[in-house]
Amino acid sequence: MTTSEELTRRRIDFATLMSRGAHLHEAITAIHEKHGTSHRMLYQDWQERDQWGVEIVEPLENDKTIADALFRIGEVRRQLWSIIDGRGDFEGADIKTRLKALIQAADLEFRILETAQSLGAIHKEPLKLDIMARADELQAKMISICGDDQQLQDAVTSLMLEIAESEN
Amino acid sequence: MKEDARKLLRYTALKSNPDLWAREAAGIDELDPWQRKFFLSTAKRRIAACSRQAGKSEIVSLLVSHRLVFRANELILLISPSLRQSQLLYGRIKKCWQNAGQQFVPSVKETQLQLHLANGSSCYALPSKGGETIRGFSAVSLVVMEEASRLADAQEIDGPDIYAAIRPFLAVSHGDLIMISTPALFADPIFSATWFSENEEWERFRVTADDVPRISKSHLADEKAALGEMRFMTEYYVSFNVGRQASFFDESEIMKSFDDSVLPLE
Repeated sequence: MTTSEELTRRRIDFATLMSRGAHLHEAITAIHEKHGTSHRMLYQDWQERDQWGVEIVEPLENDKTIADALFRIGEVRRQLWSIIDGRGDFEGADIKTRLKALIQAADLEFRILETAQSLGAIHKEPLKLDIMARADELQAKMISICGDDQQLQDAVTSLMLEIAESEN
Repeated sequence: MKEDARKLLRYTALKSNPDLWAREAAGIDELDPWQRKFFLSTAKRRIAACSRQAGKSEIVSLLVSHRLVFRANELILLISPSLRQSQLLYGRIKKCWQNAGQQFVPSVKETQLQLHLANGSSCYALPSKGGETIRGFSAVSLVVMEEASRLADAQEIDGPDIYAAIRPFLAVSHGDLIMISTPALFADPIFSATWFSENEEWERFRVTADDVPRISKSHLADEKAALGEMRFMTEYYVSFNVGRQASFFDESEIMKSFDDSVLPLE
């Protein structure tokens, strides 16, 4: 017995394949292999798609929006880490720029985590423990940028505290 | 900025910068240079021979509270010549944690002599006489022997027995050991013996009154007049008086009573 959730999932898969330009028989074969539904039933269901198409458009659009957003966030994250590490286009970036990127990256990481949590992609609890693990990473990265210059390290950590306690 | 990101920045800043920790935990604007060096040392054995009022308890309380908050599963033991001193030091450590560390790591158990944090770290102020209690601990990360030059003569505990008990289990657990004290007037079997040992694993910190900006010249002059040369040099300039025995008269005073112009009788 197919549940309504399984049915929706199957129809989303079907519509996704068709929207990517698959031929009808290719899509039917693929969905049959994945979901075990008969070729005949799949063909018939596709012919009646006017009746159920509306139901799956919204989740499809949401999936696409989320995927796009995550892709864009991922790009920003990659760029930030390129700045922090002084790689690629950002080779030779000054320390101020790299540290600013480091602080922005810390903020962004938590935004990504929160988004993932709100979508149910990860559980809430690990975030609390995460701060300590991330602090180790942040500290190590800060030291790698500042080198052995203790005064610079002190200035950066003072700035971190200032930012943490500022209104904006 | 997200609150969690703020928390991350605050946590990283306090973890990385001893001056910021000192400010948040104890309201100290800036550590003395020796305190900072002592705090940042990574030596497994540290011994600090300090002038009076050098800020010994201050730096120990900052260092211990920092380790409790920022390292998980630390087991730290405090040993002082008396229960009252252990409690005072423990109280300062707890206060530092309350001021700056509690926001990150709450406690799971607090007593008059024990603090257990949610990250698995704990601290014990040891009042026990003899080395038996201390032998009950395992996997100790750090032992702090405060006023270590007075431990051997302490009435409430058996200093040499405790020191003998500590060394084997620190070797097994790879724990750290800190001795911090103003030297005693005469050599003692724990503190001065360690200071003058040839063991190179110890990092030595000699802190005289000149290294402490808070001690004024006029205060030193008053103390010198009140204490006498020998005691003054011990208390403020870390003079160990090794090889001397306790005597009623100061050695320099005795030497002054000799007169080379008087020839021996033949």
